[in-house]
Amino acid sequence: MAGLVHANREFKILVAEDDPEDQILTSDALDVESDETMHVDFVLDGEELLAHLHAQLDHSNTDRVGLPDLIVVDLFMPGMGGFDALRAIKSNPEFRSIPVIIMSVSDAPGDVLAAYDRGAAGFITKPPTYEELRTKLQILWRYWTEVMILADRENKPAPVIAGEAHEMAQTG
Amino acid sequence: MSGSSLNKRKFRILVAEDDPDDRSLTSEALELEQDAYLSIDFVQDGMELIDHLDKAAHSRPDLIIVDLNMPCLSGFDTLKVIKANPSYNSIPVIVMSISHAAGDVSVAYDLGAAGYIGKPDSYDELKSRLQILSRYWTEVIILPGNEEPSLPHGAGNSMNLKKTG
Repeated sequence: MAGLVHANREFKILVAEDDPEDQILTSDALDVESDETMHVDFVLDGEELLAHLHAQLDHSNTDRVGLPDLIVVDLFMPGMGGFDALRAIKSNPEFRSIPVIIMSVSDAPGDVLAAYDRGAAGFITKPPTYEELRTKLQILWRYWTEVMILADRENKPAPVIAGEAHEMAQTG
Repeated sequence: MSGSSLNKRKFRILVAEDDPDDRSLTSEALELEQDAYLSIDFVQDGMELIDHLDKAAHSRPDLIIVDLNMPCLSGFDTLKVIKANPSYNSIPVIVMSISHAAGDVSVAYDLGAAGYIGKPDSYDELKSRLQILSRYWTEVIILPGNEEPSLPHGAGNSMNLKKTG
């Protein structure tokens, strides 16, 4: 689609999910295997998520695939949980323009509000059936790839601090 | 979808758009959905949007779409004001623009936008994008329920720290 930053390359999703079964279901529901335009990486917790992101900035690392276009984080993980991972991503100028979706089994109003307050781009619940999961993830995929324009992480301009936003916008 | 707080009432989108043609196209593109489960309100610019949020404390929108180039508070300034106010900073804001400039997109996300949507050339394309957008926000995404009595800002946070910590 014209104008979309990822039109000529893979759309990269990074999923932080500690449950191996949920990892497989997510991968299947997204049809990762059959879609060459999609690249999904899984990490097990918040620490591994941040380590993965930092590794993409290290140009001497030949295995790096580049920063993800979208991050999906399970709320409850051992070690660093979803909220702490979200806070770490949003407070780092290199990563904070990457949209982060929080995923949880519950939709407790306190959790939902806290996610948005911390800068989440969305909150999704894990549905009880695979069919529902598939429907949700397919809509999510279309939304982020066909409708939304993402910051170009391949040629990302210098990190912006809030006060400078206006000058940056005018030169862009 | 079960578990969503949205099926109790219509999903409210507030669009800040100064161009009357773009307003009617947007409204038309969402017409079908609008009858069923969606209501759309329009304001002319950023100032009017903030005014609307301040006045309508009990019927705040679930989702805000702001045009980037508006007189009286640009899209970026509007986004900054919304994200700096604890009473409504949890409402997701999508920036809409004819510009796909990498700088603009990056700034929007850095300022806390939940997304950036390009205004397409054709009406059919706009319609298709807005339909995917409305399905995504009403069927996939959970938002803080506006009909619930809202907790003071600090109370919601401490409740969660206990659970995760």
